[in-house]
Amino acid sequence: MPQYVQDRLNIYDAILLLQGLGNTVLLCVAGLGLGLVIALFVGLARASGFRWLSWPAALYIEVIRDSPLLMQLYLVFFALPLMGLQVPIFVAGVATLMVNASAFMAEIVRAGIQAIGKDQWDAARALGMGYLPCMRYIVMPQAARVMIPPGVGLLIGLIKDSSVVSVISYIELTRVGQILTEKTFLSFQVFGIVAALYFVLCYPLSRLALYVERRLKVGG
Amino acid sequence: MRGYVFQFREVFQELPMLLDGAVTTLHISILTLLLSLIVGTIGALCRMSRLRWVRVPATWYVEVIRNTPLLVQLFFIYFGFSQINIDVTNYTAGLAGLVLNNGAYLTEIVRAGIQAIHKGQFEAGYSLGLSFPQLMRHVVFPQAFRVVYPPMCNQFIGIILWSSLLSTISVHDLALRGKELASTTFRSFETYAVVTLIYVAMTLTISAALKLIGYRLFRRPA
Repeated sequence: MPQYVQDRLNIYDAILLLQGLGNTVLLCVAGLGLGLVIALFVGLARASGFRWLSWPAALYIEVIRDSPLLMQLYLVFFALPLMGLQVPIFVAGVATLMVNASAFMAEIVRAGIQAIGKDQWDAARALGMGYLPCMRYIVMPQAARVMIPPGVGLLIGLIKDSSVVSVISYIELTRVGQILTEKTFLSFQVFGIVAALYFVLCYPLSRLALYVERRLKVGG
Repeated sequence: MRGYVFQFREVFQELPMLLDGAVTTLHISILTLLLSLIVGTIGALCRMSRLRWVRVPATWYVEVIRNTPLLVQLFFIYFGFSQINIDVTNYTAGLAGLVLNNGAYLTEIVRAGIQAIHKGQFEAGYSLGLSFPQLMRHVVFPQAFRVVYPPMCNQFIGIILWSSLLSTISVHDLALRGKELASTTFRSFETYAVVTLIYVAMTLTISAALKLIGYRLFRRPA
């Protein structure tokens, strides 16, 4: 009788795990990159003085922050075909992570902009700068420094959140763990290794966030 | 498929079933919060201990949980227990995973709360002859609670939202009910839209209620 259950993990499983890890990184980089762009606009809208801008932005942020990522994923996954877009699963996953990350990042952007004192704006006005030049040359560079530590925290959260994309069968790290568990039934070992790989991704980032925060606090 | 017509009626007919799932979600979330608070308090005290063999494992516990995804932790507990042939229900495994996960985050929150208290309070307590448990119960925790309350409420909202992952281990919460309804009615988008709205409604109501309770409890300025 041929053996249908593997006894132990072999080199091919290791290759699959590394591929899953690569797909996770790809998902997160794409999600954060696109999410940052959206977050910039939404955050600026939220921090602006115009109610017709800041209220829709606030609605967007609140709804996304107050709903589960799993539900957002299902919504995107099932809504896209209805709108006529037959997209690969990767795109659905990236779209969800992008939308989710953009809402949290928009809050960080808003806090960063509002952390810059009014005196900077007054000085810009005195020099004859309008809204856009002031933003570009004075406020944003200073705000960016404030945004980095929570931004790194967001990236860490995004890496962990990407594990949810496994439910739509995108072959990222958690999905590989499920596949290997079905193959070998060695759940402790498989998910132990998967957890260790996520740890290797996230822990250095969290130490980096601490380091950056400490450096920025001293710098002033 | 431009000719798609949104049909919400089939979803609203099954609203009681969905709300039943919402009650389960709330039930799990409250239980998780209470148990995680206990784990978090013990963890915080361990994290601040002078004994290295207590402090270091507690630190590792917090760091490992905070740098790995909840879904992986849930699968680790749920599938791991069936590997070593211990019979746990999905509900128990899910609850254990949530408590373990949020216990680590609450450890940091409680630790911040205790460390926010002035050292003089501890000295005053000891000079009055209070033992460590008495000091904690009568002096430290009442004051720490004020600092702990806002992040704890945030964490509770997080618990409600992330408990939806328990649907992947077939715990009958709101998310799984939504999935079942979507597969029977084939109206996936409408079902998940309604389920998401229920989550948002729950979250907004609870966070507003918790904020009000906070104002009533902490009327005096800090």
